[in-house]
Amino acid sequence: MELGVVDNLAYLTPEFILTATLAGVITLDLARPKGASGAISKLAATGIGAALIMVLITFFELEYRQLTRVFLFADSFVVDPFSLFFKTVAGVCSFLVALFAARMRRVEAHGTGEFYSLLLVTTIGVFLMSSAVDLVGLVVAIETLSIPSYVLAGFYKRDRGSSEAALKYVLYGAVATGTMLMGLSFLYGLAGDTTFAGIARAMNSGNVDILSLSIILGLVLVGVGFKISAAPFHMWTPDVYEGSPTPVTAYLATASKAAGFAVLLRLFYNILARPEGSPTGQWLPIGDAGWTQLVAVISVLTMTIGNLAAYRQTNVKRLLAYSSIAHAGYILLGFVVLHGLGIMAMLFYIAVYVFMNLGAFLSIIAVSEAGGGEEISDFRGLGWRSPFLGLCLSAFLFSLTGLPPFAGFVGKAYLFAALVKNGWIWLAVIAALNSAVSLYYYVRVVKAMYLEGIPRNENDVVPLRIGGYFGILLFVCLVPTIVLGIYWQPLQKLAMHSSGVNTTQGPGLPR
Amino acid sequence: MIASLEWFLLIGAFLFATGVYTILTRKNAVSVLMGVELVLNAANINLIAFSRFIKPVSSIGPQSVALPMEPVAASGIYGAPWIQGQVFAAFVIVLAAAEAAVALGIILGIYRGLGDVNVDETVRLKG
Repeated sequence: MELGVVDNLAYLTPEFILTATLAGVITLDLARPKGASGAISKLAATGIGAALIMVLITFFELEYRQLTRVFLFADSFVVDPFSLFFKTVAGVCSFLVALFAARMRRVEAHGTGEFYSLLLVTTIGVFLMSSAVDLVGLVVAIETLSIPSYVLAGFYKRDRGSSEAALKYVLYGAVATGTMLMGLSFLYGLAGDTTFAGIARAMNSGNVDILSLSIILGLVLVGVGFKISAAPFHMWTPDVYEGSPTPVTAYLATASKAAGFAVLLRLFYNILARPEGSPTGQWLPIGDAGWTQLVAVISVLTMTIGNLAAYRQTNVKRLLAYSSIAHAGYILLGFVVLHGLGIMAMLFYIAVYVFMNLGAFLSIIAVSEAGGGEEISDFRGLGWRSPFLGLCLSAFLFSLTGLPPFAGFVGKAYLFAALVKNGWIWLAVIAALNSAVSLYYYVRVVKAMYLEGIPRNENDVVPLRIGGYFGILLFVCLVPTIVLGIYWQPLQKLAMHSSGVNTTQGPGLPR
Repeated sequence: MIASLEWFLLIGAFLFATGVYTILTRKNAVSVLMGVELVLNAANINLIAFSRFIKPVSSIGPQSVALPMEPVAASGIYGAPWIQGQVFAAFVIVLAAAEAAVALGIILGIYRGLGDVNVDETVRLKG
């Protein structure tokens, strides 16, 4: 029914709000009335917040109308719990990053308008990526995220590190996108369709050449592996994360990575596997393609390289970059098992990871805004100079390690449980060993904060004032990191509910 | 005589290989970008070739080599698979242009940030 098209546009409200905010930010920046800088950041944050609320409303709308998914634009765009979950995660990231940057003097000096318009475009890109179920739309969405990210990485124009980060990011990114496009062109040739549903139909027809499929898999993995910074496509990560402005680093490590996982799940589960029964149960790989083993090896490589390289780092941002590589490896564990439980564990871990990682980066921002540095040596005695910040950062780092009672522990527990349940014992053992190893470098930062540079007496303490604004934001990140470690069932239910990645089954709106 | 699909794919593969070789061997950022353009255009050749020769597994479509004069309903009520490839290629061209513009801007910014250094000399030093 063609008239239904207009009704369905209501499901795009979050994207519309973001686009309208983008237009508003650009106009405000061009008009430049007095004090526009503060108004711009407030407008952008409000817009992202409104989009986030609309995403949640859409969740309930789908539930209320008892729809599994709604297709838009000739089957190229889907609104389902899976995409809404990633939109929520990305919306939270953008919202917090927008708030972080609002009080950063350096961002203001380089142009608040530019920063927020680019941030809004990347957010739209992430939203589109999580919803795209057509190769053309997917590529456009990925580039909508990537191209502004390149610019954001080089946002501090006069800064040598920032410019180099941008150059590295754009070159690696362009190569990864090109290689992925080559793979997608073969995929189109093999399946004869660009919609995921059509590709899935072709793949399930049985006469698919496994060799071609393996080549496609390899080429596409380059592109997606770059986005989630999985080994061996992780080389850009440390340099780009270290050089970029810290809010941008926080964004790349969370929203951008989450979007990469959304694409990975959606694309690979649809083209290379099919559900055995229910999509929340076991999935079967197409043909005899041993790609789960390949992904398992990539996952082990990623987490091991990330954890081992993090040892030698003296810069906290670089350390967190390697830690985020290692976490990409952990999240990939859920991908390997080809089971609904694995997808659920991935979604759960991504949601948890976002909060603890944003919190850790926010701590760095708070320290450098208060006049500190980004080296581990700059964090010496910080626990005494600013007790609240020390407490928060320790919680984030322990949560990243996966220690109870923090949320990271529950996330890892779900991932490992999914592995063990599906017989990947060796992988679970390696992952557990890796987490144990990672404790060492996280604790090094905590040790610097509390056991080094201890003031001799009360009067010796040089307080580091982070200010109420950053304090509240830190608290906002701290609450989920602790609460989800104690009372995680609602998030687990939500992740379970959102784990349907398939695009072929289930009723949609009448078209 | 109509060239078969293999010829187009061979040209595409050759362009892709040339692009990857350029990317891997050149240290000059602009040359790397040229390599990327080759890779993207290899994908475009593939897409266009497939869009002409495609035989959809999933549905009824053009079974012959020549383009059908009348569009046949192929993928449900929307679009035909053979036009998807061309649309895809058009999008890739636009994206490649956007990406090149941003990349060149960033490269320019780096050279400017290096101070009085002549762009040509910097390029040679990096190469």
